[in-house]
Amino acid sequence: MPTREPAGPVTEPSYLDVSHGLKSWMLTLDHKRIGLMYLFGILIALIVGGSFALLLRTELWDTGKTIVGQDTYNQFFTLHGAVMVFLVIIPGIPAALGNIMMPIQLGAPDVAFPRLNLASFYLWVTGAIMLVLTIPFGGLDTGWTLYTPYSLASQSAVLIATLGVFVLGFSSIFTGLNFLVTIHKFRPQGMGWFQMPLNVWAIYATAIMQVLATPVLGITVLLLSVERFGHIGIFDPTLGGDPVLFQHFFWFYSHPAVYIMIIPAMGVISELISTFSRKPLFGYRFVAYSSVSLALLSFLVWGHHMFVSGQSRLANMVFSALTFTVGIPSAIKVFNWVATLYKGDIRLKTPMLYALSFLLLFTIGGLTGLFLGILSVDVHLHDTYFVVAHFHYVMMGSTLVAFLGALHYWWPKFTGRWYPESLGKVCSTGVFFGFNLTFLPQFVMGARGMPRRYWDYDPQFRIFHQLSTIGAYVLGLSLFTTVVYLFWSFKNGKKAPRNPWGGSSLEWQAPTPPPLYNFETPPVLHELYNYDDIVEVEEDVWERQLPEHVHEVAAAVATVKAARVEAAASTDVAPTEKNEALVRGIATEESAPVTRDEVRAAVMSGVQTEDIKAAAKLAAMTETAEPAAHRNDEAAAKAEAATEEAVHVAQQLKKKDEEPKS
Amino acid sequence: MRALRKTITALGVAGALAAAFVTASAQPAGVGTPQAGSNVVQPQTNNAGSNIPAPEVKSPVDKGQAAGSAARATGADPAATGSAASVGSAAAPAGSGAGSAAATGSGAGSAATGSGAGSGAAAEAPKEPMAKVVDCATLPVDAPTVTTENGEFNPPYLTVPTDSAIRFKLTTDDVQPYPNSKYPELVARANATTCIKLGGTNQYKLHSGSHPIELIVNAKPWYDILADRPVEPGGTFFMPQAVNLEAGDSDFMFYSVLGLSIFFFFAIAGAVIYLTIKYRHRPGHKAEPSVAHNDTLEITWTVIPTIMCVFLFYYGWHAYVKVVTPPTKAVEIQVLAKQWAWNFTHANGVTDSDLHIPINTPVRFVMTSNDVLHSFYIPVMRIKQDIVPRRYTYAWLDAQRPGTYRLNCAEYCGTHHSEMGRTGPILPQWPDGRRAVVVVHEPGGYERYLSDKQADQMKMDPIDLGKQLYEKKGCITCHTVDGTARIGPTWKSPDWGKMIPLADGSSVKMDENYLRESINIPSAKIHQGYANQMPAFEGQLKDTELAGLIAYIKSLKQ
Repeated sequence: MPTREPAGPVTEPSYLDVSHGLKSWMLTLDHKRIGLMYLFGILIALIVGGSFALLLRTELWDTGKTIVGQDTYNQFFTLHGAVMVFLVIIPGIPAALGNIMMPIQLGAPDVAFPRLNLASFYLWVTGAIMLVLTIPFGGLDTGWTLYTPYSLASQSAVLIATLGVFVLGFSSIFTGLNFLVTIHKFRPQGMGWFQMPLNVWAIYATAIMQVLATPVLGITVLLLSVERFGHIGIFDPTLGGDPVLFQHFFWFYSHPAVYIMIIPAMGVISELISTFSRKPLFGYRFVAYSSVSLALLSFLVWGHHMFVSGQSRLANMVFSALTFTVGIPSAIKVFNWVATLYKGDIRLKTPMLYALSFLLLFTIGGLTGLFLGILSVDVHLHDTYFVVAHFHYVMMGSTLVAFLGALHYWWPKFTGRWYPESLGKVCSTGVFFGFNLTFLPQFVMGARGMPRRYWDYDPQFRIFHQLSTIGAYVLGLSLFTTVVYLFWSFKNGKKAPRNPWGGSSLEWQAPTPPPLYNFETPPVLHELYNYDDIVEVEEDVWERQLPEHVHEVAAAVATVKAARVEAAASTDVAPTEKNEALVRGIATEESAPVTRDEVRAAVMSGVQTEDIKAAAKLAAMTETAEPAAHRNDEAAAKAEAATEEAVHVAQQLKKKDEEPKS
Repeated sequence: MRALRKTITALGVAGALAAAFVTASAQPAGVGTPQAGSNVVQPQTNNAGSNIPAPEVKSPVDKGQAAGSAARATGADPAATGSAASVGSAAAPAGSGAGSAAATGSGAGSAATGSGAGSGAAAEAPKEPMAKVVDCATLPVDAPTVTTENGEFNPPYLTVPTDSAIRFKLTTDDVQPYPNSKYPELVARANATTCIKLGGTNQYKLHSGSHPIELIVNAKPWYDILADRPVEPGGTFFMPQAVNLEAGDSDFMFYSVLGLSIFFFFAIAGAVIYLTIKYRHRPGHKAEPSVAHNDTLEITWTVIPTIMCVFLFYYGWHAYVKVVTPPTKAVEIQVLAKQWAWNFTHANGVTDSDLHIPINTPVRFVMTSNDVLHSFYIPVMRIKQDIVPRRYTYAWLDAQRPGTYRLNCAEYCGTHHSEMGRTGPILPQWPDGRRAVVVVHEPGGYERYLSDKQADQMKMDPIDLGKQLYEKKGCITCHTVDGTARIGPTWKSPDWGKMIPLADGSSVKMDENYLRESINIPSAKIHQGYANQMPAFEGQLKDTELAGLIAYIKSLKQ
């Protein structure tokens, strides 16, 4: 009989219970608490940004004035865009969910710079407050793109907004920097680059972009502020400036920003599809490489936002060609995700429903991007609802849907509570259909020539706008319900187990919710995205089961080990603290199962290679001496392989230990 | 179009005649029943001051038509002649032969107008309505006809070209004179046919007798009527019709990619749905082992999209070059975009807020902006080009089908971005006016537009000119003429001649000088309570236009 991998009793308090009170949260350095505060802020911002969306969709119910006048409408779409882009989608997956889960996925106790992490959160809060402050200080009506010279002439609170964006930029840069260092330095021994979960890969690619691109946004909005404040001619043509230069600067950041939004989404989707299909991710390396190549290519295509801005034909040609190159890595990812489903055992839980929604919506978002990459077609579609629908399919249909999938996926882990599953399924279906109803009509409107940012429109578009508005309400209701039940379940949900989905990455070995430093016992590396050993022991409770032969090896190791400890004790060699604890553990639970990974742990903590070899021999002898009916050759081979692996690891470790000394 | 043109010229009548007509129509009509309802023509007071009739006679084109109308006048059908008889005595003292007399009278009048242009007679009656009863026999058969049905006018409102006539065939006879009518002179009798001609660029309201209903008639130049037509969406479910010569390639690319996208979407979605259903979890179902990567497959699905993209890029680029490269010989139109109106200047100096273009002719646009970014977008032409201040950008097209089409600003430019070139109310069912449009003329129409528009601009009464500029230069988006404040102060101000407070605490007398400065350099003196937001018009308005605007504002004073 295979046996369960022992999880070890949870003794430490979870990070939620380790301390209490407002101060313990405001001054926390724990990445999970910081991430949770980010998440709270982002969900609030999502409601605010979503409310603006519903207001503007309501205004567009009919031609002319429905509920508000032009100026108010212009502020609605500006704040909807600014809030959603800068406060929700850019920090959504990396800063909130990435913060909470990425270090645990690495088996690390925290990020590299916990204080910087907290600082970046407070910068986010400051930036968010500044964006909201624009409302009492005259509103903001420039569009989130802040195009000059309108943003220089606008009577609204542009200065506060630009400074807010500047501050938010720093928040983003700090987070990116922190994650880069964490991923480089905090990977556990034995986890190479290609043993990293794809979510970590995606966050890595995102962090590169955050660090490299965001400074350009910073200096751009700073120049804009200086120009508005001090009338220095940079972008204002009446002062000798160049308004199109602003667009270059702005999109040099904001195009990579699109990938700052979508790449983390691709990362979590890789995790979700693999876990819920019970299949290793198809083409892991291609998916990982495509994240990085997308990150790099995204720096070279900003000009496709400016095909009709008056930039030269040559520039248009080059940017059009480069734009198509971005489509290819995206296509590769989609094909790999679909191939992962093949021969799987697909479990349609809420996160998987979001992941499948993502696949369909991202496909539409990507394919409609082709229209816009084609120069002659873009001339017609540029700045119409077609573009609006396209980027909502990417930014919302893909990124936000992936964010929601990831949120539901990890919610039981980091809150320790279940969200209501059936309500989750209803809402995810609502999001899918509501979203499509909102934005599919916008493609048709756009192709028919409905320009974006229009308060009033031709009667021929009315039916499409009304469909879109109905869809927006379905979508809004689904999202609002989701946010409400998540808040509710945080306190009141059913307790969640350690591994509710049968995930293979390290976070599922941590207690639920994790303690302050994430793991009580060091996590054990298993083959990533291999679900063969992970079985559902009861509904939504998964455990890793180990083949029986492992006992034999382990028992042998234990025996040898015990003898060795005895010998060591007798020769007055003090065993290390770790060693002792391990041995004590083995000694007290002599009859308890010892896992293959404990063997590896034993190796890591100093058991000599010779001991392992002896143990292996012993095990092999047992195997060959007793070819009992329940033990087949395959098991024997596996035992041998496991032993050899253990020996190999031991040698590697030894080498590593010796290196720094020399 | 020809018919409209005919109407305009054949029925051109001097405003002077209206005086005689007023006297005449006050007499009881011989034909109408005693209790016949009367209908009263009453121009909107704001517009009534025009003392120069708009139309002019262009002999080379129209002499044949003038002759034709005279011929028709003599051979008029009995009913028409009969109904005209009573009112026709306006023009000629004689009672019975009045039909033809009226016709000749109007002919003479139009001739006089064409040569005289000034019209001293009209100056003596400045507030005179520019409407008059004319002989129905002179009307073309397809002239607009108004009837009464169930106590309602049918149609309830209409637009006619300046100086064309409307035929009234009123059957309802229980109508009484409208109680509040100040102008009971113009009467169309029940059970008779009366023809009334409307001049100028005016809105006329005709009241019915006992019923509080009114008929609203707009008289406008023919080219503005073309612009007022509803825009034509046409086209397929996905795209508006293509009117530009070079739109074909672009549309072909659109539909190709549409087909490709639909194919790939259904392939991918089909695979996702099929695999999800086939491999869904159910009791006893387990994941089967299969390869986790396959380089051949990966390379295949990398190379195929790459090849597709190369083709898409190439053909897209090819079509783009055509769309942005005008032929060397093209009609040139200067485009000035500003918050929130268009200003199109044609080769002969004619300016307009609607874009009128010839058919089957390459037209090149040289565009710049007065303030912020705008974008010149004509969906049916498949062209779009941002317009940047202090820089020229270009676009071109070659229109293939006459019609009226949408013209949009596609780059966000502030409050009224969605309403660039918004006009005043056109008809009651169209109270918000309309945006600027593109009018593609029939062959020859563009040339007529240029000459007629030029003539109209030269001859216009200052107040009329001011009113037109008010709508066409975009003043209307910020200033009202009804006393309510919008982005800027209203023009119907009670402060004329008084001191008004300025933003800097000082004050200034509201007079012609103040207005002139505030139009040219709005930032010089900012009215208290308003932002410094208005674009400067210095150098963009001729002196006559400035004078017209000031005259219009003065005409509104309380």
